[in-house]
Amino acid sequence: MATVIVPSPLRPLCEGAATVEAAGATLGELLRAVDAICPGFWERTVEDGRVRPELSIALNGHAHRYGLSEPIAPRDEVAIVPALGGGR
Amino acid sequence: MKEIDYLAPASLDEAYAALQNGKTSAFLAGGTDIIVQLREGRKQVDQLIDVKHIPELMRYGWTDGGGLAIGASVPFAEIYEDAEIARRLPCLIDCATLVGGIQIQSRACFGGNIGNSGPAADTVPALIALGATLTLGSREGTRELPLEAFFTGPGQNVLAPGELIVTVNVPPQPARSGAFFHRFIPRNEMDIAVVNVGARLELDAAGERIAGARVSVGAVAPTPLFVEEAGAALVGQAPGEEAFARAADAAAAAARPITDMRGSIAQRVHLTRVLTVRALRRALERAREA
Amino acid sequence: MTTIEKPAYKVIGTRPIRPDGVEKVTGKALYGADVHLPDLVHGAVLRSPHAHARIRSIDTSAAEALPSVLAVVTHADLPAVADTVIDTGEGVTRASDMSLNVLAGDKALYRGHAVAAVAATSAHEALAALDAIAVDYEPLPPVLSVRDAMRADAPLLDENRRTKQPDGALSDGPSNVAAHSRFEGGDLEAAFADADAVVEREFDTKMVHQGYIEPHNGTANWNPDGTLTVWTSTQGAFAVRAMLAELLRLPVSRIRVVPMEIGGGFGGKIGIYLEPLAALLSRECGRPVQLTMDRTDVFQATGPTSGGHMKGRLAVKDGVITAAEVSLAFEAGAFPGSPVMAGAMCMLSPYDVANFRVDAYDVVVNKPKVAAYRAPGAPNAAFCVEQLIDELAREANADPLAFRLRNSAREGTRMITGVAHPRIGHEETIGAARDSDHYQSPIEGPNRGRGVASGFWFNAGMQSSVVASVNPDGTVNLIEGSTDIGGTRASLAMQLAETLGIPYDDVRPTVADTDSVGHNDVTGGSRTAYASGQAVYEAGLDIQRQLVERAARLWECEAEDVSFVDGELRHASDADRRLTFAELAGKQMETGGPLQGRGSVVARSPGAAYGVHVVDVEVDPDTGKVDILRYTIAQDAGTAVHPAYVEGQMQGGVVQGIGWALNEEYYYNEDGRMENASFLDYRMPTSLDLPMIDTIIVEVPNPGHPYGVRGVGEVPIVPPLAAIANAIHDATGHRFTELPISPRRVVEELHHLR
Repeated sequence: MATVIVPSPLRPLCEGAATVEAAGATLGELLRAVDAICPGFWERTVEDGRVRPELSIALNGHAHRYGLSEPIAPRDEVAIVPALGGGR
Repeated sequence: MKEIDYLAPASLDEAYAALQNGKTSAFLAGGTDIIVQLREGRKQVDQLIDVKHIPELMRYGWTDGGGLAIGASVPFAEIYEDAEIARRLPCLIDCATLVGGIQIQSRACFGGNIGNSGPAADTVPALIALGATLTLGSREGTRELPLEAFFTGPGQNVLAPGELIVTVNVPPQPARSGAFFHRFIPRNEMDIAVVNVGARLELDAAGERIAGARVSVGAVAPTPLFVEEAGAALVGQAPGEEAFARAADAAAAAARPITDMRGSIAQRVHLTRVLTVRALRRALERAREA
Repeated sequence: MTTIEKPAYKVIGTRPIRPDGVEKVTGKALYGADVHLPDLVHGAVLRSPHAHARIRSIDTSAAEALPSVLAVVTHADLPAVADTVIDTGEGVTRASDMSLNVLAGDKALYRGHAVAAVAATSAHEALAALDAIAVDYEPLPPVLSVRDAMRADAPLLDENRRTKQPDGALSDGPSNVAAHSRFEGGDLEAAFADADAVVEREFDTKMVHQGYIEPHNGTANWNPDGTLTVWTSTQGAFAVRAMLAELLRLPVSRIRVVPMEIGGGFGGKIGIYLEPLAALLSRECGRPVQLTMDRTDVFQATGPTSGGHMKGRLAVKDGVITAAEVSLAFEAGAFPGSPVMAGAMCMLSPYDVANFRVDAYDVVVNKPKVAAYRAPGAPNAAFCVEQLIDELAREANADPLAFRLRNSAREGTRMITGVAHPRIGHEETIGAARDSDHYQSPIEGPNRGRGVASGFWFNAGMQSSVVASVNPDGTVNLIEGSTDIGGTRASLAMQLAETLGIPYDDVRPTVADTDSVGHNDVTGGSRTAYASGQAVYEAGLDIQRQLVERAARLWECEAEDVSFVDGELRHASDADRRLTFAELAGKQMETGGPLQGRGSVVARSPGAAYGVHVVDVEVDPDTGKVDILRYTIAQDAGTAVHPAYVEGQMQGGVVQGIGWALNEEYYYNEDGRMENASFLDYRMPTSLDLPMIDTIIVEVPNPGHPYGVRGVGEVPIVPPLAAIANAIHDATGHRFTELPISPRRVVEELHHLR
């Protein structure tokens, strides 16, 4: 099971929970699994087969535009964070 | 920017002729104001008259009476590198070393700073404090007037068509007098003055009373101000904080600044007071050394 | 100072001369405005004089009729863009917003907004031709601050804009608030109720500009076969290519972007302004077209950073920060996209705060669309939080550095996003600041004070790719794609030299155009030395592997019997069998042909950077002038590849922060005109305004990089605003919560003049 950190705006979908445990071999499967627990989660995080452009995924602390096929290992931690520019 | 003619008269007569040739003109000495204004489209003229080739404008020297006549186009750097001027007229050095920055001072000159007639011009309160006059020339001849009478508004002065500034004349200074100029700017260099003040104090023979005083404030009105009331408040008084405070009040009362991107009314009135007091303290030091 | 045993590097940590140094100081380096092409013509841009206006019509016929005019374009000449967002690696912008910013559509949204562009036979003719373009404007009341923009009766920049709310829904009615985001954790109310002390204040900052010395430029040549070449001074050639492809609806492969030398960027040279205009003009007239900006255009029509309004409330209990409630509203300029989120995410990242609520508002106003400026959003947010922390420390009777140390985030501490910090160096950096000669020296004298502040920036990773070609003489040509704005050519060459065990002078780096190297994300985000460094390392390893195989072939042994050590190939058992890098390079042709190494990475572990600053000031209470007496910056660089360039980044960020704190601001009149659009009155510090900025490089290596590198370019601008405000408070007893803390503000507030 991986741990998904739920950002504040999406917590209402998860009945207020700040983290959700779910299983998935890839990021896409994991988000689908979370969607089963928190209906509406998929729509808020995925668009056109990719993570929504205004979001980034932090996998074990490393934020990046991961693709939905990114492998997820058990005990990985996935956070959904706003995408930021690399400033400058 | 449209085409501009460039003329470089080699004599005063040639310059007067150029001024009367029917085209609109601006003078080019150091160019540190006019070139910027032309490029930004703030001024438009048909011709630039380069005044750096006219002998009377390019030389300076002590007069028989002990005054200093400075050609309008002499760069500030030449003035402040002159050891005798530095010794006898330190107030001139105060302002000449403050205009712009070092690069500007190697080209810019008194005639240009005065001719540009900005309300915050850094040479003017210093020169007014020293009692300076201007010699203006035209085909009709020359005339002399006190510097404080030259300015009529922001960027405006009494120069008649066909006329130019020939020399800036610093009269011989009274014995036992000292003059000082400074300004306030937000940075350490490269700023237009928020307020600037020039002051001269003349002490009596005993050194205990103020025999004469001139106070001039810039950047607080459409033109630099010669505040006669401030001088009057000082004459006959013992030099010190009480007298200086009254002069500062008079200077602040004479100030009628605006609020703009360089300062607010409240700040400028406040600074007029502060700078007047500080200038008078330094002028007193110099008067005592004289 | 290094926290773990630092490897004995040969090249990393030295201070060689940068490869672009000689050309830059002799004036030979080629910047964007130096591009000369046969048949090149110049253009000019007509800009809106109104801060807010409907554009009823644009009549270009008189301009087109002028004999010297070769082309005239307006928004109508841009193709309709897809309903998409463009990811330039700088966050996302809607393609339609970018298109409307490049050339105004039915509304001018800021003074300086481009409305039309012309190309003519000379630069002067082009400027004169602008007067022949007739634009019918209907002026509208401008909105010039976040507070005004957020009022119920505020004029709207876009009647169709709704607020995107935290729950994802759009607001019912139209608004100038483009987005409202929220982060929450813990139990805020309980923490406030239980606190020993609570501090609360509001803060205001102003729009400021990056102030790079080189204005924008763009030269474009559009060929009849639809291929387009663009020369420009940019922080990201590939980003420019992607944006041009979107705006001009061209395939990416048809566009070649050539990055010229760049005179400063700081984030402001990622967006495009002139390039699409030059491209359109070139398409119309069939000649290459060059556009440049003057300084007024740079101020009015590029991408400054946000001013804004912030409210903060922090609580302390037993010396621990227990609660933080912060609301930030930042100006986005004419189109959405302020860095309010980044600011929100950075400001508490130096600390471990269990209970928080952060509200971030992105607000449009009639000012130029903001762009990134060195740690975008973070300096503003730090101005708020670091001052409140200063007050909390005083309430808790604690030394300000000790207070920060007590509350410091460390590896595993979660940020407000819920993401846990990797190995970070805030504690070590606080220690370096505390132990510095500066902090240990007393501050004496009237009107003098000392302030400190911490700062954080995430740093970015993203994509880089490089190719390294080994020459027969043993030198290496490194082809990379990261514009050099801070010495990265040298840094990357050093990292490759270190990897290959060869001298730095044997590596020749080149920044290549988009046809000549693989994709590289922007030089920004403090990512280049880290991510492009990683790509360079990979390329080095690739070359090593190939050299080992080639040596094995020569020595007729197995690859496992060959090792690459200190720039040499060695046989495991036969000590006589040795080849230097150069010797084997010389045998390329007979050992398999041209030798190239490739590195292509998605760098995921930039590691984050922390800075802790100490500043002493003296305030003249009568004139309000603040003098910086002494400034020390301690910063965690991970591993400083080229210490002089790391120091340069540190000092540069501090100096920009000093200007931002003390004098810089966009000074608007009520019509929305920036009155101080020149360096005379937009007051940046000169060298005469500053003491030497003392630097302490802390090295807590980043586990995510082979040499431990962390980005250094941005975090140095984060603490100065607050550090200086804290120092001024220490000197005067007065806390300034509005920027800039100019002499005018100091005098007016200390003497109650307003």
